[in-house]
Amino acid sequence: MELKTPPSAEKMGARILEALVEFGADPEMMSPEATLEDLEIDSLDMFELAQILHQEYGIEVNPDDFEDVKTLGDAQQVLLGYLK
Amino acid sequence: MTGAGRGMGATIAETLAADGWRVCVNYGTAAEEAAAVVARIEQRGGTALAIGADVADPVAVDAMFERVEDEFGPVLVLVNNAGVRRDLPVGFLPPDDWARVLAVNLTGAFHTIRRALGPMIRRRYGRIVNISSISTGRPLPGQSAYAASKAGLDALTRTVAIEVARRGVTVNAIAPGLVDTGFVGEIEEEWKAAMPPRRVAQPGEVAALVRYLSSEDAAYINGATVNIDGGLTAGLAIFSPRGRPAPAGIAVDSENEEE
Repeated sequence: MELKTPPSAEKMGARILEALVEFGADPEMMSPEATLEDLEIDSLDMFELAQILHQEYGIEVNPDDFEDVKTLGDAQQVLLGYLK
Repeated sequence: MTGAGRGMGATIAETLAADGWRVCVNYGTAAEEAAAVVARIEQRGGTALAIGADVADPVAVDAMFERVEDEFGPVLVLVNNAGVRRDLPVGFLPPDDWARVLAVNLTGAFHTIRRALGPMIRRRYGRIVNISSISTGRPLPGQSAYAASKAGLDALTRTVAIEVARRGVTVNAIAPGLVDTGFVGEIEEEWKAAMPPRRVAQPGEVAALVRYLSSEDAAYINGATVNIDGGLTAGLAIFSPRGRPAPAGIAVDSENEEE
């Protein structure tokens, strides 16, 4: 995986939250325990999020990594894992 | 615009260019013809770029998109017209021929759509038009691979359409009947007589529909397969002279003579 400009975990985490709000997630409901279903985030949103991370940071998201993702915390853990 | 080197694809490319679109004239084998399409577009003040790429090859498709994005910016309209035919009774159809038809006509569209969708979604605008065929519902003998590939293309059209609709991207298909693609001499009078309007379609008539489906005005048309066949499939049966396969123009694509 080649990073264009390696972001800090904090910066990328903030970008993820910003994107989810853009997709329609309620900022008030954002918490690591909130499920993607509760946030009304679906596979199209996750696809677009993957596009953003690829475009801005050169990260290649593997959809298989999201098989067990249920909550926002799960999603952030997987996505921030790409920085390691 | 895939399969834009000749025939109906060339006309569609020139029509979109006349509307101000900067057009990538993709071709499989028709390099000289594609260059001529670009030259005609440029003579009329348009902008176009010929790129050879086998749409069945995802690496080649990716390279083509990279080049188009570098030269023109994001792809907002994708027309999948590349196609091949291997018309033989199924018992005589070699498996490799079956595979090639599916690879170009169906999987090729999958590759281009897959590559185009991300930037379209990010911009909340995209128009994908797949050139299908009336043979999906009314095949003629010998068209097993072609008809199956186009039926798959219709299913792909509908599925992607509902996946991405809320991001301002529409995905539709056009199913032409008999089109005069320049092989006028090959279109026999008895075929023309079988068409309800007693004539075949002109490529410009198909291009006009592509133009509309590519426009902002068509934002609420999504997941549709629009027949453009003069009413041929509205009737009970399709006339087939003495059971022979269709002439080269029917359910036409621009790469008919690829191999």
